[in-house]
Amino acid sequence: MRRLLLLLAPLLLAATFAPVRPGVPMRFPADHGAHPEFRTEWWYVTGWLNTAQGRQGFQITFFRTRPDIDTPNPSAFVPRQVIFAHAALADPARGKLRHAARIARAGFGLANARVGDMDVTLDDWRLWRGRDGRLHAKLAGDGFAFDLAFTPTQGVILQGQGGFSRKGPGAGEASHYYSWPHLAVAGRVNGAAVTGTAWLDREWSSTLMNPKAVGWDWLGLNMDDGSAVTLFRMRDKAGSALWAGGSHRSKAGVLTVLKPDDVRWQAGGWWQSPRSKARWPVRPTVALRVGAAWRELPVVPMMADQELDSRMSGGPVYWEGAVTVPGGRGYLELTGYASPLRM
Amino acid sequence: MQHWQATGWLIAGEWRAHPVRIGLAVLAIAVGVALGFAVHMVNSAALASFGRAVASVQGRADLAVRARSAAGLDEALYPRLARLPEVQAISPVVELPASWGRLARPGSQARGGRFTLIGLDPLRALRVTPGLVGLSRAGQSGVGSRPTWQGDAVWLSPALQRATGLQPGDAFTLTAAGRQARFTVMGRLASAGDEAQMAVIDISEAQWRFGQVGRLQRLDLKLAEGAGARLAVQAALPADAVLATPEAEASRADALSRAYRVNLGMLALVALLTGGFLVWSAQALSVARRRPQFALLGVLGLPRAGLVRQLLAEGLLLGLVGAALGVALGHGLAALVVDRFGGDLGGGYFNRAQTRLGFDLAAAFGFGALGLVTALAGSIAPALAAARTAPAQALKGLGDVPDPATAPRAWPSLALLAAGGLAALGPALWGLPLLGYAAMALLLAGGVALMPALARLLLAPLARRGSAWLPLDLAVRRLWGVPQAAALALSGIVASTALMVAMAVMVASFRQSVDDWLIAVLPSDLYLHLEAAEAGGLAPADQARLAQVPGLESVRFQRVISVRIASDQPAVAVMAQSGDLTMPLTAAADAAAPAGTTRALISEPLAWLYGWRVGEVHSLVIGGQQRRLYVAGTWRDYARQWGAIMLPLADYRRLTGDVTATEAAFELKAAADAQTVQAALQAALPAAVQGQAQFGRPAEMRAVALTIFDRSFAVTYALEAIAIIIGLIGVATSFSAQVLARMREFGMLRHVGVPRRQILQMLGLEGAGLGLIGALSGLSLGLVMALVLVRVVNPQSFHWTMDLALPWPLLAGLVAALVICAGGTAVIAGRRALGGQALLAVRADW
Repeated sequence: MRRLLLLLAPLLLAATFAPVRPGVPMRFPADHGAHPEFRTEWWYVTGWLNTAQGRQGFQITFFRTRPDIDTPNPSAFVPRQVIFAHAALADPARGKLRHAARIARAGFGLANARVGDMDVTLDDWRLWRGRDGRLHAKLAGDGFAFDLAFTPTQGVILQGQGGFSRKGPGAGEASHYYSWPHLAVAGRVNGAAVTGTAWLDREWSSTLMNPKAVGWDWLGLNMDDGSAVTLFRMRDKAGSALWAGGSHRSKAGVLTVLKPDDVRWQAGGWWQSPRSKARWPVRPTVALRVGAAWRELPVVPMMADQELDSRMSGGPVYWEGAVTVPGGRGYLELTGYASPLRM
Repeated sequence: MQHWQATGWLIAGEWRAHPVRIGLAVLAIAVGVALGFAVHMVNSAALASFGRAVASVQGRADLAVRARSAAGLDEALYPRLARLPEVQAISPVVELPASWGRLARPGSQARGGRFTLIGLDPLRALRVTPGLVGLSRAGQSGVGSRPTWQGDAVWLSPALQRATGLQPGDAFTLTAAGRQARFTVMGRLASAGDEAQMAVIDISEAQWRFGQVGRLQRLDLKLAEGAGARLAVQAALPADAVLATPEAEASRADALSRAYRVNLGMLALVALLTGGFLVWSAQALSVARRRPQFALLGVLGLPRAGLVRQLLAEGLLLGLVGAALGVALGHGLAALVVDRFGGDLGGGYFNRAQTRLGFDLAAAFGFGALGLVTALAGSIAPALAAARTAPAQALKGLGDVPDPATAPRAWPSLALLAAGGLAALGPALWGLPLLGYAAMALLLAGGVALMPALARLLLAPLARRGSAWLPLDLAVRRLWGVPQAAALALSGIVASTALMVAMAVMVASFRQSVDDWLIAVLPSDLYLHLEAAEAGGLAPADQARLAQVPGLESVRFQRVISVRIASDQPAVAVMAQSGDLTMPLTAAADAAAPAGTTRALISEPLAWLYGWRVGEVHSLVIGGQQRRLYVAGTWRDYARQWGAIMLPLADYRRLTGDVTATEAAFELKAAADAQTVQAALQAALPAAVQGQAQFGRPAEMRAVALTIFDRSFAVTYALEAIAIIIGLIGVATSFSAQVLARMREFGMLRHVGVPRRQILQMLGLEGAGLGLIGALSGLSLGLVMALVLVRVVNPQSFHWTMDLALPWPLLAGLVAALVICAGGTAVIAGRRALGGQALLAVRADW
């Protein structure tokens, strides 16, 4: 869904937006909060839940985007920032996602992304960091309600060079990016107590996507041994990688940043959606090189149908699903398969 | 089954022998059905398309919170309502009356029009009123991607796009709230329907470019299920907001034209009633003439019930043909009317909606059945009369000729008249003058039924004295002796004359009152009106510039804004006028306004609709708060049917902070040339409102108003003309029929030595006499009914009063035409009857 950002990101460099630069150190808790000077930003929580009905997957995503507007208009309705959010519950018993979306221009205290620490609100949906250092999410959609707390068990991973993560071969194609794996989940889903393990992805940028790119694939894995794997690639029209990257952090905390050459992504397990008719490679085989050793990970989805159609609220059709690999579980994201991810 | 065969022969024979009379009865039914059906179709089509247009502009939200006036609401209400747990989704809206191009009076060639400008937050509207969210050229919703709804983007409804002829990418300059701005057409609001003229821009742009920062006119809501949700929203509303439920909106749309529609429907029923009278007289005459035939059938074994069945079958057939013809005619008429006058029959109620006519099968059957019932009802009395006749008598041609010594009974008709008089005193029911119409029907029935007795009463002195001139003597004695026969012919005349007179007097009174009113309310030399300027017009600087134009003696500015008092009633006009509030008042209070109140005048319709009386204090929400108004007087107002309140401009400005003006009245210096001053004023107007400005001088404004008046009464005039023609034809046919039936009588007169010339004179006098009695009775009855229309039906429907004015030349002409027609027809028919057959007729029978 970061891809949504893409949607929001015009292809042109906009002088009014803050550029993504290497060497800008991450500072916390400020960088948990919003960066309104950048064009686009997201707070992305995904994870696996242990429920009375068995394992379920969930996704809670808040986006902030800054439209390309520079106006002296004094109206409080000027959309200087737009907040939108998606949430989904993956229940294998149901065979497809329950999901909901919200969108609003920031203002009137109804929609806001706070600067300084994590607190994003959109009507009655909210994601915030409490004084206890835990993250909290509270929101409800049609047929599901989340009230969850996420307790960090490890530190954040600064992706790329200290949080400067390249996304393409072009000079400015990059984002500020950190991840927070192995968050311990406690709380309630539809009123019933749950536990689980989650992953937070935080990314902000003004210029992300290469003009040739049509979409991307992303994978975040909490490994059972406490290590964490992040993989992504940008695809061109032919389906080959324009760029790839990621990271591996071992259980001992040793971080390896993956370069394009260190990532292989083999699409597979094509599933066609009966609704959008799009075909999704929901069982890819990925491989990463840590040190000199290649490690291959066959990805198996919790269920094939984890497609999320956000077109009704102006977003794309994408696939965001709970997956397992041998020795780990996490979330896979596929975009640009229904139609090129582009404005 | 054999007598059914006989029935067939009889009907066919009768109809072949008298096609004109039968045709006339059919036509009368057809006209009544056609008018009723056409009025119904046009109205339901107009109401439906008006409703669709309103629904399009509102985007079909569950519920809306609306500002009481175009001044809007504080936008702080938006987050307050959004946080209510009962509110599932909310969409704030700026809604402004707007215009493009040059607005001009009807008939001018200038291009331009009014429309509703909607300022929307598409992100919010998607969950509440998705129909209002525009699609870009690519067919993609603009939401979420690069916001195509930002900046100068405008989406047009299909109707507005057709009217402007603009394509995506074109520039669109529009004016609202006295300001002009240029937008770029992005695309079409595909789901906006065909009726609504509207354009959608971003809410922030609407607030900024049209001076509405901080203001909203509307909040569309999606509520949680449950009855408590509306109450929770209602409880959170400030004084200047009203909760507009879909039901209230529908009832408001319905209220707009309800009285007008019901009145036209009643007129159609009156036409149908006239048709019923014609059927009755046609059937009664044909029964009278065929009495020997029926007697023969009776002697041959046809039971009486069979005879009744046969006559009812005739009526049924008449009714069927008439109803079918009427439905077809009605549909054609409706199509013509919608094409020529628009869906409101020229009434001006729905001028922003385009009307599409459908075919309403249920209504077609309903009105057809009404025609059928009328025809049957007209046939039943003659059928029963025929069945009562003793065959032996009738066979000899004597029939049941009434005994001249027996006086016709008058009390049933007097009772009907009295009931009519009582009903006229009753109140409006459901806001409609139903008792008034009942009174008219009772008066009509009573008046017609009274005719035999009345004719005898009027002729008694003449008959007693006798006359030296034989033709006159014969005519008077005949009329005196057989009033029932006279009544047959008279009923048609009286009914149609009475209805004609009633309508003519009502329209004439109304027109005269409107004319007097126009003269009274237009005392200045020159007027300026800004169209579509509800949300704001001339700023103070513009007003000052206008006031300095050379040649002006004085200027009075006025701000007109509509304010909703009740959510299910159309808004009332609040008119804030500078200077003294001078208006010819129908009622006034002497006392000074109590402290803490504002002196206000109210219009008659307002007083009627809301029950406000002179001398009382009432509250009105303007400037966001309840204000106390002291009702210092009532004025007669024909322009604003849903009420108007007049305040001093200074008070309005103090209460609302709104310093704009939408209208101005100019007094010119004695030497000034009106044309020159008008041109200078036009030049002094700001460019933004040039296209909206309409100047008028009292004389031409009066002419335009009366033209509009006549146009909206065009349907009424047409109805009148039809009623007159049917009435006259009815008179002619019933006379010729009666004359032909009396051939034996003429033969006898010739036998006893009366010359042919004198018989003709007698017939002419009889005819003219009948015509005169009928016309004068109809005239009196019509005047009484007109009084009911003017004093009861109009005030109850439209909530205004008028002075009675009698169009004497028209009434005199009507009476003369009836008398001449009746006398002339009698003579012409007599000539035919006396063509040598008369002597033979006597010999054959006696």
